[in-house]
Amino acid sequence: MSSKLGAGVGPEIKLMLRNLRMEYLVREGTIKAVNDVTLPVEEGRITAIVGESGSGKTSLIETFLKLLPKNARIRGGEAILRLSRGGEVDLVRADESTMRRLRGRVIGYVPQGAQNSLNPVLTVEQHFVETLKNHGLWDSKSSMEEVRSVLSTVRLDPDTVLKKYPFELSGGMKQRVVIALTMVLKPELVILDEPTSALDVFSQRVLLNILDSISKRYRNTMVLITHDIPIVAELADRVAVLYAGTVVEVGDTYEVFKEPLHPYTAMLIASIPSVADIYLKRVPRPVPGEPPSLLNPPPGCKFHPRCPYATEHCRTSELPLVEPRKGRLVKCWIYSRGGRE
Amino acid sequence: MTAEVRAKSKLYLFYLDVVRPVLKSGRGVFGLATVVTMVLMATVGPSLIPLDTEIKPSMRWCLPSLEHPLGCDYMGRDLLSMVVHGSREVFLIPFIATLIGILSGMSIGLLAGYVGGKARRALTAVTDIWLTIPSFPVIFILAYVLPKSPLTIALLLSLFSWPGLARALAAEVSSLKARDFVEACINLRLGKMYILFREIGPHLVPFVAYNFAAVFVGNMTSLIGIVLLGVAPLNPTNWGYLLNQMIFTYRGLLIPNGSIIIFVLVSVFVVIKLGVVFFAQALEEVFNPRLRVYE
Amino acid sequence: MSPVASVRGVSKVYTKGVFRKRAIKALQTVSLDVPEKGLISLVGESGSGKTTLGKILVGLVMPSSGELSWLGTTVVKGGRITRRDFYLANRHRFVYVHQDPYSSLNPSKNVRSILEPVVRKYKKHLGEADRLRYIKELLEEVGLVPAEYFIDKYPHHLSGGMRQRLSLARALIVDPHLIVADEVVSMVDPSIRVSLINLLRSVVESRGTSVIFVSHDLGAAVYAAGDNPMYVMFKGLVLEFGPASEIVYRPEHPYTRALISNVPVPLALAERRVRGLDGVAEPSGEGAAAASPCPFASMCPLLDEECSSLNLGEYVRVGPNHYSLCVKAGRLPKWRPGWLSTTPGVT
Repeated sequence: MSSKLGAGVGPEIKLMLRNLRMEYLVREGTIKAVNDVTLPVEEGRITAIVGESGSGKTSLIETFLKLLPKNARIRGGEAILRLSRGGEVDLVRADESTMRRLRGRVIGYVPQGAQNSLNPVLTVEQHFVETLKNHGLWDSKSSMEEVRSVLSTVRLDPDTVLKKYPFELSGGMKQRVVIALTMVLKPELVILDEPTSALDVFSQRVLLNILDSISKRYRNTMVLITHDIPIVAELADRVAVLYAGTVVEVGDTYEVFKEPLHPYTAMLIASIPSVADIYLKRVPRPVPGEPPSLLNPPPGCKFHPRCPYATEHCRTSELPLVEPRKGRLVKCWIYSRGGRE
Repeated sequence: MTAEVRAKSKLYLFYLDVVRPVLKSGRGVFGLATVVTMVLMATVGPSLIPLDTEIKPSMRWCLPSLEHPLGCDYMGRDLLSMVVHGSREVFLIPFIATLIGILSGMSIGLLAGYVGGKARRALTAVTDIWLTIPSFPVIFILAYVLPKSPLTIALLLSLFSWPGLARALAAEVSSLKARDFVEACINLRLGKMYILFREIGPHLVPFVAYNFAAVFVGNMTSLIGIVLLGVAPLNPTNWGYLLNQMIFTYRGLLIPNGSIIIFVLVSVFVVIKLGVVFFAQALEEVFNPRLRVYE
Repeated sequence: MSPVASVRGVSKVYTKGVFRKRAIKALQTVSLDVPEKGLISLVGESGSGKTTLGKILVGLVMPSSGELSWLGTTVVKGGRITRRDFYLANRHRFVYVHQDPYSSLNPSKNVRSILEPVVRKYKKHLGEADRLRYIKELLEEVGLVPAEYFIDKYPHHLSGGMRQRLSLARALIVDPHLIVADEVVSMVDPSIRVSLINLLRSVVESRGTSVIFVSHDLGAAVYAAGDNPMYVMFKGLVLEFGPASEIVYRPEHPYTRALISNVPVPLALAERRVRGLDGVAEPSGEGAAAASPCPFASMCPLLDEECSSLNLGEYVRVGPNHYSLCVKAGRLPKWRPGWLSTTPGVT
């Protein structure tokens, strides 16, 4: 039933995180923010990483983007990025100059609240020129056309927007400018951290469409970090569920939502109230308990204190990530020898 | 969450809340040591270390040694004993001045900050003008003119100790008042006095403590300064007086050993200033649990 | 049963600038009754006026015009307090709970010292031992168990959900008539939002307190209200109100319909197909939109000349207790939410 993960990086995998571990050193001990994360990110697809507070999702991104603060220590694992021009690079072992070459042109990153990072004294046009020049991509003849094209992909009218300053734009528009600035460099891998959080329903809907268009137009690999389950259901092709610093389930979005394998995934999905509940005659049910402390995580499976299926085995043993069916990864004893259905 | 009921005695809580944060950093330890030393020096010091009044010309400007840890002054007298005996005046006068200044600054600042509006604007205007007056020259001149008693000096120093704190405190209270948890208390009608002293107050303690330390250190410097410049001769063991004699009367700077002893005396003073400031910084962690570690 | 609080024609205008030039209309005109022992939802985006309305209902904000009544007595009229004694005597029993669990609690005080002063003031008859017992029972009521564990914890030891429970506990000490819970679940983990909403509902049941659940999350607002009234707000106006369950099935305002259609739903679609913006028209420019006082006019796909005849404050009755501000209410075309046809397993 269970099968070992392929040792090499397959042709469809753009980014392979394997057994990644990272901790923060604080006075009371260590915070195990990334606690054995294994996650294959498929090329050309939108993968969502879902986690609540205390799941370590932002820490995970900072780990393989090497944007960690001084008191962080990477304790092990690898993050293999397959480059479109050929070859691979392990981001964990890459030095800062390699990372600098990768950031922007190969790996795009839109952090949370990015709309506030626009320079208030530069126009949108100047932002683009500066960005392109910084990466050596500025060509006075062809670049402006590229810029206009990107702006229209994010549904902004170039003639209206280019000459404006950030304070003249709404929150949603600034968000789109930031995304356009990221995309104009045509990165192969784009990471977006909570891109929809501050937006109203209509702007959010438009942004989802925009992200979908971007995926189709640029054929890049997108990774979306969010705690918003409904967004994942609509936009993501693949979803990875993060709990207490580790990935507990990975799979195709439709299948995971239809039949979640990990108890946390099932309970998480079941806990979200939605307008559709009335139509489905569904009553949301909260997940009992609280997420565990990453300073002193429980032994064995991190979810066992809250899990209705927990057994003694779950309390004591560290778990492997298994593949009970093709394309689905789970970290739960139910699916391995020693577990109970 | 597992049910853990821990019975904590008050003493243990005090240790956790107050003592441990201070001791956790190098600065805290240094600061605490300095303050403890200062207190000891001023209280029991003079009884433990008798004042060396014996004039020993052969020991003039002797360098620091086991027998004379700070060396000897221009008359061959042990400098450590003079420092210890002079500490009372050097600490006490600025302390009283600072206390008066801080208390008045606090009352004015708290009230103006909480009431806000015109009161606060008036206060800011007054303190702004006051703060532009160069304090040291004024203190210097007034000290020369006024009767030379420790109390007048203390009052004089306190004149310039209150405006800075009042103004900053008014701003701090004003901004704290707007914070959500204070708003919640206002809505629950818990009372102005309660809110001011029990909700806002604890947030101000590190602010005031830091200010106290800074003003205290400033007043010490002013005091030693005016005595050094010969304007207010007080107790002969006053460090400023020692420096005055060393530099002007006995031309210590022209003598190699003399320069060293002067340097030693000034260093003692600098180390004390540093220690006081570090202590105030460490106190900030006691009063702001959030600065403390992830528990 | 007379409503515990009600407003008639309240508006709120904020003026900016030294010469009062720029005016922001946070609330245009709203009339609303908060039933005794009831829970109602107020749903709208930021800028819809829902927070302003909530604050007006508990007396934290003075309306620019209109009337506010508490327990049947008018306390505010025409921008001033009319029954000062009644107002001052009852103000503390109309409570507002903040959305931000990180700033609404004093970080340098532990649970006990956050609750104790309030208990001291409002439960004067309790001696020290009884006070402690009261606090422990209160903690249990809001789900912070075991009480002994939580009693000396500081806010930074508690998760967002726990802090909100504590804020609620503090509000309950005064035996409130009305609690306005403004976005209390927005900064809390999704998986425990429902447990907080359930807590609010149980407080209504057990204590008879009325609760207004204010949120921008339509799913949460609908769950909280259930069959109770829900008010849908947009740009300072209530566009539709009625039983939440009814509104979701049969929304009678184009804005409500657009909202329901465009909210992302946590259902897997047959193929990954991102839906386009449904029920919202491109802003066309002036003309019909400018002629109508309807705030949704510039985005409404059903905009026409009829809309200029709208009278703000005149609602169309579309069902028992269900009203809409649209001139076409009751005659709107048949509608299903945009996600319905693609969702497997739903009729």
